[in-house]
Amino acid sequence: MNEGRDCAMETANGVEAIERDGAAKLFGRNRVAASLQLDFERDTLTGQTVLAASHQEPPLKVVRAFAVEDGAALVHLHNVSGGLLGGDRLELAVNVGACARVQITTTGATRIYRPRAGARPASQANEIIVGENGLLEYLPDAVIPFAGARFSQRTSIRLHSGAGLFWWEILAPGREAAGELFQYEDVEFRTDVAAGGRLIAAERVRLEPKARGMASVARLGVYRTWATFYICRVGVGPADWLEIEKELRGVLALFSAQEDVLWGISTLTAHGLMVRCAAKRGRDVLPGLQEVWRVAKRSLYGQTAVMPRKVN
Amino acid sequence: MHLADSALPIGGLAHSFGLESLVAAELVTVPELSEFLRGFLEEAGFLEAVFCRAGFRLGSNGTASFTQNWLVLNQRLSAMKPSREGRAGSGSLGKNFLATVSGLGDFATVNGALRASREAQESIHHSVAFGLGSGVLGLEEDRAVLAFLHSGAASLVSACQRLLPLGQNAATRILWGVKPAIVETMRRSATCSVDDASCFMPVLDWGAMEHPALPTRLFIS
Repeated sequence: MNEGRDCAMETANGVEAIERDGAAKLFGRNRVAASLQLDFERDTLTGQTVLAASHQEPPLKVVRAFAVEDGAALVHLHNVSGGLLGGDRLELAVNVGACARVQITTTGATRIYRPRAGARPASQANEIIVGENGLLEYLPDAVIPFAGARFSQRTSIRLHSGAGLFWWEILAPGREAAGELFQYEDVEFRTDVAAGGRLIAAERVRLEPKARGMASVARLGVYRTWATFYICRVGVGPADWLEIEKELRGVLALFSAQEDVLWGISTLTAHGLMVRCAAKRGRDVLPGLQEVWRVAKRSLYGQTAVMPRKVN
Repeated sequence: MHLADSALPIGGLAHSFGLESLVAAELVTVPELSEFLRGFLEEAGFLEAVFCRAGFRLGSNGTASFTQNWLVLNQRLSAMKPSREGRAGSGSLGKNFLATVSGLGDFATVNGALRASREAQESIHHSVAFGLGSGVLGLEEDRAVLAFLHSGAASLVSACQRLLPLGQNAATRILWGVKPAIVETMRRSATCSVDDASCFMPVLDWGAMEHPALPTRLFIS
C-alpha cells in the first residue's frame, strides 16, 4: 500500500518538474512579473456588459469575454505557464463599471509550484473595483500549493454604492490524490473588502504547516480544504442580511448533514455575509458554494445564478 | 492582574467564543484541550495581542488624532472577526472593561474613547480596550499583553470546566502547560503591525458562526 502511494507521489513530482521546467523554458527566465487589467462597461444600448479594455501580459491571459444570458460578461482567467513559479509576481486589476455585471472564473486550479532554492515566494496582487450598482461574481477553482510551495496573495476589493459581490476562494491542502497534504512551506492570503470607504471584511491568513500544524483543532482539525465566500450588496440593510443569513443557513444545513464538512455563515459588519467552509474532501466544497450562490443571488437580485459554462 | 482577573465584572465568564459549538459537535474533547489552547493562542491570541499593543500605544502616547486612530483600530478588528457573535462578545467585554477603568479615576483618554465610540456607534473590542486601559494606567506593555493573553486562556479553560468533564486540578495543569505559548505569543506580537496580524481558525470560526443555531446554550457566544 505504501509502495503504491510512494509511486503516486514520485509520478506527481515528476509531472511537477516537467511542468515547472517547461514553463520556465517557455518564458526563458525563472521569474515572471506580469499584469492583467480588465475594464468592463455596460453597453447602454444593449444592456450587455462588454470587456471595454484590457492589458495582458503573459502568462496571464483572457481569451475573450463571453456574453451570459443575464447580460453579464464571463471571462476565464488563464495562466498559460500552468501555475505560479517561485518569484513570479502577478497582478490582476479588474474594474467593473457602473451597472456592469461580470463573471470571472479560472480554467482550472491555480497550481503553486515549489520554488527553486533561494527564490522568493510566488505572489499575486488583486485590485478589484466594483462601480455603482455593478456586480462581480468571482468563482475560481481551488488554489493548490504543491510540496515546498511558497505563495502570497493580496486582494483589495472596493465596492461603490449599490455594488454587489460574490467572491469565493478555496485552498486545497496540496495534491490530495498523491497523498500530499500540507507539504507546502507557507501560504498567505490578505484580503480587504471595503464598501463606501469603510472596511467591512479583512482577512489575514498565514499558514506555515511545518511550524504550526494544520491538524490542531484550533485550525483545521480533521478537515483539509478551506473555503471562504463573501456575499455583498452595498445598501442592503442589516435586517435583510439577517433574513438572508437565516435562509442560507437552512441551505447549508443540507450540506452539513454529513460529518465530512462544516459550513458556517454570519453577517459582516455591514453590507454582506461571509460563508466559511472546512471539508475533509475538496470535492465536497464546490456544490455547497454553488448552491449558496444560487440562493443568495435569487434573494439579493431576484435572478437565477448562471453557472460559468466550464463549471456545469 | 486585577484588571485581567476573571472576577472583574465585565462578563468574561459568559462567553465561549464558539468553543461551546465545538464541544457540542465533539470536535474538542478533554484530551485535545491543551493542543486546542496552544493553537488558539498562536492564532486568535496573536491577533488580539497585536491589537492589545496598538491600544496600549494609543493610551500611552496621546496624539492629536487619537479619536480617529481609536475608531479605525476597533473598526479594523471588527472587520477581522468573521462571526457576528464574536464581534458582539468582544464588543461587550471591551465596553464593560473601559467603563470599569473609567470608574477607577479621572482618565480623560478613557472617557474620550468611550464617548467617541458611543457617538460613532463603533464597537470597543476587549483587546484594544485592555491595551488602552493598561497604557493609560502606566503599566508595562509586555506585561499587559501577557496578562491579557493569560486572561483569555483562563476564560476558555473556565468555559471548558462547564462544558466538559474537566476537574479543577486538570484545568490548572492545562492552563499551566500553555504558559510557554502565552509568552511566545506575547513575543511574536511585539514586532507585528495591525495590518500584518493574522489569524487562521476556520473550525472555531464555524463554531462561533453556528453558535446562534445551537438548541441549548450555556454561553452568550
